[in-house]
Amino acid sequence: MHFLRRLVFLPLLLLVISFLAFLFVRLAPGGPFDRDRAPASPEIKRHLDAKFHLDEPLGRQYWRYLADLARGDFGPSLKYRNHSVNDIIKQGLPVSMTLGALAFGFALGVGIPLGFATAVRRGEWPDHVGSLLALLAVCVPGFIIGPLLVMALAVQWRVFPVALWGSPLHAVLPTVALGLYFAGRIARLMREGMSHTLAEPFITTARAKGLSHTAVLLKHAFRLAVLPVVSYAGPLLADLLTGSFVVENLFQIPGIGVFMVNSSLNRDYTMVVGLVLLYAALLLVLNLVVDLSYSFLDPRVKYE
Amino acid sequence: MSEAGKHRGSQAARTGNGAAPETRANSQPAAPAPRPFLSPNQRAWRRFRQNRLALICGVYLLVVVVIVLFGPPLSPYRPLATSDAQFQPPAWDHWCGTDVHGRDLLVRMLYGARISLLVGLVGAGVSLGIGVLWGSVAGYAGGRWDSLLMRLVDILYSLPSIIFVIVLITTLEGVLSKWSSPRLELSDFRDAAGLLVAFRDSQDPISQDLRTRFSESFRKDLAAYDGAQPPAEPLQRDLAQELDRLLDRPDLFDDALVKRIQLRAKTRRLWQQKPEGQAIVRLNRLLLEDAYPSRIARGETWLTVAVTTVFTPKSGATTEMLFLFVGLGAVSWLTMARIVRGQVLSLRARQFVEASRALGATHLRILFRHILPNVTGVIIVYLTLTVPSVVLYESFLSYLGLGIKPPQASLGSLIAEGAAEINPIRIYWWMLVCPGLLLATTLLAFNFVGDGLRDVLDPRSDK
Repeated sequence: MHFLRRLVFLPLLLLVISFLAFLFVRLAPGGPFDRDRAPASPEIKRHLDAKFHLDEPLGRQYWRYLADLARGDFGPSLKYRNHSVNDIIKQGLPVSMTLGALAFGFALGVGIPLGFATAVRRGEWPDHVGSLLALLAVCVPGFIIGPLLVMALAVQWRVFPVALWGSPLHAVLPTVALGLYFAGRIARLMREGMSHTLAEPFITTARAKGLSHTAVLLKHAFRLAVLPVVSYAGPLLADLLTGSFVVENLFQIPGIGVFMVNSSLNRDYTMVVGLVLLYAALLLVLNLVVDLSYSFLDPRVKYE
Repeated sequence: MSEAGKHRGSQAARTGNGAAPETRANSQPAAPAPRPFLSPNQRAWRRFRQNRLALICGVYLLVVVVIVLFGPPLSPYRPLATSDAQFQPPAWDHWCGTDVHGRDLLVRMLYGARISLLVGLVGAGVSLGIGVLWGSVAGYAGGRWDSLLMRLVDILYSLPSIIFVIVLITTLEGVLSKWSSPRLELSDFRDAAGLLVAFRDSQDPISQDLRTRFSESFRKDLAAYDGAQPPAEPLQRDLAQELDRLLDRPDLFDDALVKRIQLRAKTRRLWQQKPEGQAIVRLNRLLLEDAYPSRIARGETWLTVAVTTVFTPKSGATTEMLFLFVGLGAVSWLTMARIVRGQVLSLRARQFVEASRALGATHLRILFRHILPNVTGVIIVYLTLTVPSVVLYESFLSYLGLGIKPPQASLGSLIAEGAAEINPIRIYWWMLVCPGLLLATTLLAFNFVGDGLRDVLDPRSDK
């Protein structure tokens, strides 16, 4: 029931978000038709405004946008005028999603075992080394590790290609550069969750019943310990799937992350609102999934 | 009573004693202790000292701050001084090498770290202010207010933060440049028709003089103007453009003309200073306003003057930093608000709060004297973890070219410069590694200190 209600409210929330984004992007000075340094000349601006209905009152513009949206049309891009927002998303999103999913898998695949191991061997040397590695990953952002990886593995030793997107080999460096930071975050969350869970009385009970060490850790502790990671993973996945400016820029990957930054710098109003909606929809749905999986993983969680 | 006894010492004692004077609160331990009574802070400090790693990192941070503040004058190099020694690798002369303009990288890094740290600290402070206020009000008020305030947080959460920050920063920049610019805009005309008629017909020397300075085509348009109320918008825009062009002229007004104008005190002062450069535009604008007091609005108010004098010093770096503070604070307070709200929500239902309410304490007093002190530990812990994330975000923005603009630098923009120098032909590794190392170690230290503080202060963490 709880989830059904949230599912019903989801489009409503998206509507509010689209409205806020629609107003918000217009706050910034300048417009989509300005050139690099000079504002657009008045005649050109007048014509373009009329063409894209920017001269109408805001309310009517928003209504028009909603009407288009209802047909699944995000409108034309105001900066890249030969493309619609749908085109750009359709071209860039699959690339960004592939890279994002790879990085997400990398972050989980490295982070969870690392956090698990450090928590189980708490206070011993594997814990110290592993925790330090996790913290290091958190402190070296993608825009440092990315160029470093390129410098060492692509330029110096020529193991991987320097840039571009295509073969699986092309995906290795971007995946690591994008995912390493989050692997560190997840390892830290996992370690903390595991330490908390291992201190709980039900673990003692399970041990007292004579369960094997592995069964206690994997069947009983892991389910609860992974909860913080799950709630972090939802927003993270939304973040990763919608692309990363730094990594896409560095490796010349034709994804959507570059547009996230450039569209707001260019005041490409339709593009910004479209991307905001895309991100928000992903985030809201994934948060719903997170809460759903919560009630599966932790039998004590009840939603009303 | 035993319930309240679990809380931080002074709090428990005060609520336990009810009407007891507050000065006695600390002198009465809640439970009989075998060793001399230590305040919660003293106990926390004792435990923190035992965490050697956190202590070392704290010292490292202090050293970094001292070097960053007092180191640059000791160097023989200035951060912006270019030389012929381009792309020198690290050596005795240049400990961290030089960059594309032959500038010493170490000095630039120290100045950059100053900016990064300042932005990190102040940005975290901004997020602390907004987040604590927002979260505690939501948690304490509860009910409808709570859901309203927290829904807003949810909505802000679901905007991509980078878009949010970019729009916010550019908007602030736009507002400031509009405020600080002496340029004329259409909204500055109080009586555009009167102004146009004056320029068309008036025989007073000022209008006559200005008329001769207008462009040929505009004079034609002016002569054709029929006195319509209000004048057509293109005509008004042309007028603003013509006047704007004239504002740049140092000889727009001479002594004879100025004598005929009734000057305000500040106009007279500026006129007597005989200003140069950008100030001429401002002087001409002021003179123009005084010459047509009922027709051109006074652009400067005390507010715009205050804002522009405080935030537009010669370098301009301060303005950018101010925007960064606001922008970064604006995205990072959300988590803080959620954490504080959760804590306040659970504390609100506790008995010691009920007790002080029964004693007639006001809401403000309950919130600030009884509830928030119990949240301090969590807040401090989260704050030490916010600082590195704000530093990181700032370097990301500077990497995008949004934050600190060259020739000023922050660690992030230095890293971006270094990353741009990596190519298959030659590798200038030091330009990436040196600032990257400084950034990473600083972040690492902040995180270790934050972890150490959490072990000590956060009641939820074990041991």
